[in-house]
Amino acid sequence: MLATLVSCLALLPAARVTTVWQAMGTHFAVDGLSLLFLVVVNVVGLCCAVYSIDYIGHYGGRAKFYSLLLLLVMGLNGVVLVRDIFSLYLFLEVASVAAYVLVAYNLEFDGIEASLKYLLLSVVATGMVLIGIALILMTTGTLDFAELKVALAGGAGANPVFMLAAGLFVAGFGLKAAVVPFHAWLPDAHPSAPAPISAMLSGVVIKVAGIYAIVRLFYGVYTAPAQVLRVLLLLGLISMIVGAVIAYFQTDFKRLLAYSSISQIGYILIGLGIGNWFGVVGALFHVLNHAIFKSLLFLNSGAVQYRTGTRDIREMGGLENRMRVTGVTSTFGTLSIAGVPPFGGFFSKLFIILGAVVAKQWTVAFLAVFFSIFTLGYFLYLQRRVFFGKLNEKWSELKEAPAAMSIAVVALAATTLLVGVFFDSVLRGLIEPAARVLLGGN
Amino acid sequence: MDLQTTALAIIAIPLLGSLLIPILGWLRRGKLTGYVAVALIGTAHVLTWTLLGPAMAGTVVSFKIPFYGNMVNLSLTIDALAAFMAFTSSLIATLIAVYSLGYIEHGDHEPEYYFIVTLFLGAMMGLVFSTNIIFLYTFWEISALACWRLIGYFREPDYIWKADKAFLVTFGGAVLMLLGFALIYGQYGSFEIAELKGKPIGAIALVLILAGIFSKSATVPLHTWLPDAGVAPSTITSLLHAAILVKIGLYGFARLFCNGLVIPHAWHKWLLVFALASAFISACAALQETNIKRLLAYSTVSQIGYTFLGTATGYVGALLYIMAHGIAKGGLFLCAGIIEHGTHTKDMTKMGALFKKMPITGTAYLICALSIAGIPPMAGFFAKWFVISGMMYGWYRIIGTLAILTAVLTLIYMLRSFHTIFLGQSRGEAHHEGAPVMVTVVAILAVLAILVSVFLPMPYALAKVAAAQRTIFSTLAALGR
Repeated sequence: MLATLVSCLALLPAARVTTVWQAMGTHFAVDGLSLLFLVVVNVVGLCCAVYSIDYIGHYGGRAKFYSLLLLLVMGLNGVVLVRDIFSLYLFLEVASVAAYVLVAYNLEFDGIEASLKYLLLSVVATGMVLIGIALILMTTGTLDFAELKVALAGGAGANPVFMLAAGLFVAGFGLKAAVVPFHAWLPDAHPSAPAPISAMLSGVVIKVAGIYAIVRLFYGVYTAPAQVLRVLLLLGLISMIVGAVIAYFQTDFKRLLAYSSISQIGYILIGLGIGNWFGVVGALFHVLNHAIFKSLLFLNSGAVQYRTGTRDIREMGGLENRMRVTGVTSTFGTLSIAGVPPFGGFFSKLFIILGAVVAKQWTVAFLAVFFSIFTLGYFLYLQRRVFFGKLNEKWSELKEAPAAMSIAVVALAATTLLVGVFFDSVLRGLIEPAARVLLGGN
Repeated sequence: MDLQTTALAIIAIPLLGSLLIPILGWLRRGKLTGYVAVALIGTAHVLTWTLLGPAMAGTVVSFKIPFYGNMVNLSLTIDALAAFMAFTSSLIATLIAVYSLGYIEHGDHEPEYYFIVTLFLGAMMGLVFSTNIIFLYTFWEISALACWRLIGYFREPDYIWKADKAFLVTFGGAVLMLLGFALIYGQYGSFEIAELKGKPIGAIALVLILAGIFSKSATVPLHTWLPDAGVAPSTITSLLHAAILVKIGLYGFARLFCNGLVIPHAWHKWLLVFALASAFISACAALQETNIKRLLAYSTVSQIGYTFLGTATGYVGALLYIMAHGIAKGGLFLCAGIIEHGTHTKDMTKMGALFKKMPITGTAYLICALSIAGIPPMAGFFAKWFVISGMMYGWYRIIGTLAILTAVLTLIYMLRSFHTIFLGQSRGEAHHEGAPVMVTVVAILAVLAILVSVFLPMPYALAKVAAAQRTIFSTLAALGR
């Protein structure tokens, strides 16, 4: 795991060029966009792996757990590296199979139920994606991104079959990204998984499986047609609003985080749907930020559950007095997700709002601002019920989470602050090359 | 040191130095944290003295440390306004930090308290020198999150709720303001206040930005969080009211609209009406209060309304007002802290005849209360004089008269509170004077409330320079006078 992270950091200087190589009959390539997602996957993956050293003790089956986690990471890394739709689909399935098993890892009723729900809905999604792939292969005879782009630019784009395929891709990958109204599986699957897996699912999987695929196809291949952008913008708005409103009523720590993920995915889609430079940079930056702060918050919730044995926030209270590291790091996550500077989340939201204003989408800008107040509202509620305050008598014997778990959350909390403070370097080194891949030149 | 290095040091010493404090807490040296905080804040204050001379001579130094594109730069401007605000805020904050040594008990949360107080002052220092909107906003929000942790310091359930309320209201206002900034960026393509100088601002952006400013400086109708924030430790309420938080809104207004963007003429009168309504309504609310800290909070809302009147009419008056009100209100809240420690209540009807037990606190309270009410020779009188005379010269006679009426109300509720607390029948048991360090700080603030008027020419000269450096916007100018 560490090795993959180091190797992807070593690729950082190469962000501006596209490297292509061939293996197993498939083209692999790294460009700015792949690199951004590679970094996201492997940073979060490494933190989750460190965290699990102590965490997975009470589940048992350490070897099985780690091999599944590695399989998940391998699948995700594959998704972002391949150069054609079919291989993308294959690696997506590899990652998904690992995810289905990991969701049911506790082998209790709710875990297995959630896993089945996830499996069944994902099958629908992959079915739609496969039909889309078939339609494209039938019409153009190629599935390679670069060749497809040429074919589409060469007039084949007017073909209604392509728009049909585009619709299928939006629905299929939208389901993978848990965009409202395709979100039903996420609030069940994310809470019942072990905490590091929830962190992987919410932080990384929905982004690679959903957002990355959408971005790669609609910006990389379709060159951002206006109709698709409008659909993305609309889906984004609905997700942002619905996710935030439902999150407000949750009493289960991890379900609240899961709904908030839906809401934040909405922000990312809004940025993409706006489609100008600010919007895309903001969306890609938000992918990075959301991966960091949401996995941080999920790992915090795992630490709380590990010590208290419950996820019901009504039973908690004043845990900062006993679990100081968890309390402080969760404050970092809260402030970042609400968009309070100098944390990372602020700058990505700023760019998304700037994008909306520059594109003269006043309503979108206003809603994005309004729902960031809402986000802060329900996260303050969470803080108030769980960490900030007088200690609930019940938990006077509580201890801080074990060392490896604390190290992982401290690393993520530090990252979210540093990404905010040094946002200029992050933007220049990681986000802008990715945005340039999508928008070309600039 | 040249001015640039000094300004950077004034920001960096409290902002980065504050990080030492949680480390001390972690090393179980919690008892040292208070002294470290006093040292950091005090150093920043001493450094602001070196800015006063050049600022008084009219020097303006601006410089830019490029950050991201042409969008976000660390641009700092050292002018009379910035020097004046930095000096006043850090002076009061230093005194409050010293007072905290006697006020905050040693305990689990002590390092957090001093860490955030120092961070808070650092954010304020960053704010007054920044002339890039994004940096301004960043410091603005750091102060909001500092205030969230500090208001909930005592950790009672409804205190936390009130802390959350304060955070949500100020954050909500701030993001609306951010949207306003985004609109400005969409229109003019810049976040640099220097580049926006003299540009007219659209109505929607103006309303959005005012929402942020008014929520921060607790102006009616966005003021309710401020009286509620009285559940914080008295040092913190003092910090919020006198030195930092509500002054941020005022400073933001001065920096953005007196030294930058231009508010269209049609809005000027409505701003005055708004500020006056805020001053008057909250003075009436203060008449009703029996909780000492809520009374003082409503009084702050009222005085902030006055200061807004001042920025719109006579700029000099507004700056003097910020200084006079800061010193006096800081003193009053610290007195309230001593009283609360001695009597274990905030309800004024349960106090009485405290003067015999707490002569120094009582005297200081009276001096500060009279300064707020605007009785000569206290500093508050001169500030009020400049504001009201500014309005009269501007032919805003009705508003000016109502402002005088509000001043009368202020005198009534201030004297009544003094009477209820310190004179009359005793209605409680065993009271005692506060710890020596606390009483000393309160006495210093009371002396300052008088000294400022003795040495009035100095702050007056500085305010005058700031008024001259202001590029545009005064209702007087608008009326051609």
